[in-house]
Amino acid sequence: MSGTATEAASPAEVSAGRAPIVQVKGLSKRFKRESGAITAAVDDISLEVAAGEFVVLLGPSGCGKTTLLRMLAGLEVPDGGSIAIRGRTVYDAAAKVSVPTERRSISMVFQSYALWPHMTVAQNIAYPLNRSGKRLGKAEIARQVERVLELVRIPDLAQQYPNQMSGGQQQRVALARALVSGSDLVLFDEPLSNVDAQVRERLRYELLDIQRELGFAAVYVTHDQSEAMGLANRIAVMGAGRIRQIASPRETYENPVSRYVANFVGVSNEEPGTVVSLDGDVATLHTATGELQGRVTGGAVAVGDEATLVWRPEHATVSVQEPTDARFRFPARVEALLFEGAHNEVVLDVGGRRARAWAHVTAALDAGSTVWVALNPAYARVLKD
Amino acid sequence: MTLSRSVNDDGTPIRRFHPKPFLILSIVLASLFAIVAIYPLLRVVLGLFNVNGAWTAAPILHMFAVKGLWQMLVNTIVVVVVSSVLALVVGAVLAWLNERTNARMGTLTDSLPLITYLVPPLAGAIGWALLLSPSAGVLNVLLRGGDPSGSGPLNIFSWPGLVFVYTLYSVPYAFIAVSNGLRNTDTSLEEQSRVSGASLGRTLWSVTIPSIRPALGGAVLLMVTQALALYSVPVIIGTGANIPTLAVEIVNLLNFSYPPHTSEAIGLTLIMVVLVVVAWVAQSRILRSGRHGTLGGRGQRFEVTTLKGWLWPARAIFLLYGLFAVLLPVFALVIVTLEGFWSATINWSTLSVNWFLKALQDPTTTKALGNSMLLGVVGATVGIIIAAIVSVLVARNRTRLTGVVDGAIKLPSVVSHIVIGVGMILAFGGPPFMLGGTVAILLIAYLVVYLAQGSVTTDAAVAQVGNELAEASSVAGAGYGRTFFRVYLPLILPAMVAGWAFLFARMAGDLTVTAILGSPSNVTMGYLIMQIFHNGSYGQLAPIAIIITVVSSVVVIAVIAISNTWSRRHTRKRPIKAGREATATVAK
Repeated sequence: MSGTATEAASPAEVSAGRAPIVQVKGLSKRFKRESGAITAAVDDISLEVAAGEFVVLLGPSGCGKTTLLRMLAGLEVPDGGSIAIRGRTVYDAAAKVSVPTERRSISMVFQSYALWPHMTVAQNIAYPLNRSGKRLGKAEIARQVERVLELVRIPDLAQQYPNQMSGGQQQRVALARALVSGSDLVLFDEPLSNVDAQVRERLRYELLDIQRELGFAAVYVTHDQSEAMGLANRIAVMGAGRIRQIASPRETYENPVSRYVANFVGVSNEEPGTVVSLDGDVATLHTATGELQGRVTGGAVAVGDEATLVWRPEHATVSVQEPTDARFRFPARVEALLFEGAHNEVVLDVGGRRARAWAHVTAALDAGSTVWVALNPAYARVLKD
Repeated sequence: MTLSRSVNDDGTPIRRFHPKPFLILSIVLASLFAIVAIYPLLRVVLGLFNVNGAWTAAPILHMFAVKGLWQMLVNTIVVVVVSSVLALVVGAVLAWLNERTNARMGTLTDSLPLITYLVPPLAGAIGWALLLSPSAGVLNVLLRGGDPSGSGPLNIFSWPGLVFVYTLYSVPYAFIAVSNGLRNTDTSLEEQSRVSGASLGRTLWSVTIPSIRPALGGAVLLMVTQALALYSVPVIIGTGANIPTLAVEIVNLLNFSYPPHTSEAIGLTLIMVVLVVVAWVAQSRILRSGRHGTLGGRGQRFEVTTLKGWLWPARAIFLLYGLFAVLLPVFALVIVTLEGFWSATINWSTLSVNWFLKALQDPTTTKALGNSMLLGVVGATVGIIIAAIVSVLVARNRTRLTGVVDGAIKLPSVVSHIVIGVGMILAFGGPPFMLGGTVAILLIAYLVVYLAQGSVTTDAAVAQVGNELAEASSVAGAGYGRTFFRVYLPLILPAMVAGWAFLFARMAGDLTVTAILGSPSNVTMGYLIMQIFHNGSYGQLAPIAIIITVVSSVVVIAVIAISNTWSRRHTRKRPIKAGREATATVAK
């Protein structure tokens, strides 16, 4: 798996000594397309989630992230591999074990909230407390419901019905229902995608607070990279049914292992070229715009290999005068200038390829003019694939 | 990790079986019912080649020897096809007016199909015989300016009359199917067409109609199978017009000849099976040919076309239909009931409810009414509960078994009811069950025949609940039974009530199945009507038809009203608009 390069830094190792809450090995799920072709929605995925860890599954739609989450919940039956939760095997293709959802002792927040419309908020939240075999007194149930309503900051809504409330409030109820049983594993399926931007921002911070306070492990599916960045201990970037990279948000952003990851997490610009020299993990590329240098973070490269130099908009210096003190520089034509408040985003034409860079708002740039771009090799990355 | 086959990582034993009592009960119940539904059909097919244990072609040979076979066949096909086409046109126009134009008149037009269910076709047929029989028909006398002697100008006992009454009682099937089709079609398709400059007519022809083609196909299949099996209308109108049809002949061979000509009857049901299969193939052709643009999500708003000058002409179509299907025949029945006999002139001063009360006091009528009510209440209750259990089972447990069970339960609805009636005799009438002539065999037959129509309601309701509410329940630790009773049942209850009312009206007023399985020992209202028709007078028929109409109307309206009040008080419990579906599940 491609994640091996960065796994050394994962918090799973930091919290060593504790058994992982979730242990997925070689999990696969295939679907038959309408054309008859068989595609792997989830393709031989292995993943561990430590106690208290917040793992975000990030990827475009159709990458298999929701399928993976639903297989953890037991809502979808895999075709191969195994899943263990708290060390207990809940699915194993070889041993023909498949524990139904209701016996996995997990919680889940659904994208559509999935609140039962015929029950009050209190009834919705109390539902998981009546797990078969567990009999709580009325007073105890009321106490627990009240406690969790306080936690999600809607203490007054207990007697309301779900469709008397706003989307944000419904999402809080869904969260409360997931938290009430005190499960140490909560699954989230794009829970914030149906609320408007402001509410989403606030709910995200509150969710993080609550997670840090209660210390449950979370597996969170989203296609929103800023959400992933803000929440995750580790981000698993997924594509075509596989985990392309799993690492901390910073690691994923700064040291992507492939162009796919670099492009999905943040904005990146690319210059394809040939490796002409290699000094440790620093590679020099010959590209159409000249010699460029960066650090190799993906698969190893050798002199003579085709590779791509990837750089982020904020790591370039854009100037009207040629910066003779910068070793790696190239000219570009300004196509457009987008004012974004704190900085200008400059859309550039670099030898026929489009690139984006940030420039200081005071820089006197005009569309159509020629400017110079200087790259700091410490921030540029050389990726083989 | 190496796993031993019976122990987990931590040494605890792996449990392979997690008993789910309610799930197992559901599967057993559904499977049992599927067998009851399919077995009679198998017996019919078997009965064609096997009489008393010996292999023979006798039923088929006997069938060809039936007098006037080809005439009957042609008559049946003509009346079924012509009335289905007419009903499709009328039903589709009414549905379109109601769904897409301002001709809609709220509950009045929405409940149009329900209103016609309240008047069983047999009451309608008798009513029209009373209205338009050539000499003494109430309407004919009025059209002649009150002249009690003479004849005409209209005659219900004729080809046009027969087709007319068939059409009246096929319209609701087309109306419901096309309404559903229109409701599931995204109007933005139509709006796009209008925006692109197409006229209303061209939009209808090239966008609306193609997109509801599956609904139209479904309506045709339903109407053809219903019309084929319809017994009341052809026996009342067709016999008077001297137009023999298959359904009437099969019942005659079984119930009105001595000894019963079972093998000819089975032979004739074969023709019905063939005709249904033809309709079936035609329908699946319609479904397969081309893409149809259904489904843009529930609860969407529809663009309403404003009919300016055409508004009242359009509404007049609704009113005319209500007049023809309900008001006029019921009026005739009431008049004849109050007069006590059928005469050409209405003597308003002698009208009295005495005749009606006398009919009610007759012990046979009381017994028939009791049996019909019992069958209606028990049948509808059992039926809707089974329907709900199967709908949830199929939605939550998509395995090959549940698929087969679901198909088996729905199959009888597309097979002529006459065929199922004959199959019931073969399957349960003799040893070891010996249910012939009992109320029990009627109950089983009603359930087999009408259950699929009830499950249409529960299927739709379960689909509306969606998957996530049930998944959320599983995640919260609830097993199948708890999810059924706490999540599904409360949410589909209103639909179950509506389905119950429908099943009750159908079962209490049934004549088709009863015509085959009825006998003096399990007399029902339907059977009583059949007997009076063959041995008595129209004057005696009218009160019976009125009784069955009034009783089913009262029960159905009461149940619907109670359910509406209840759900109005709980409107806040209506399902929330579902958010957009999880993107990755689309990969399925």
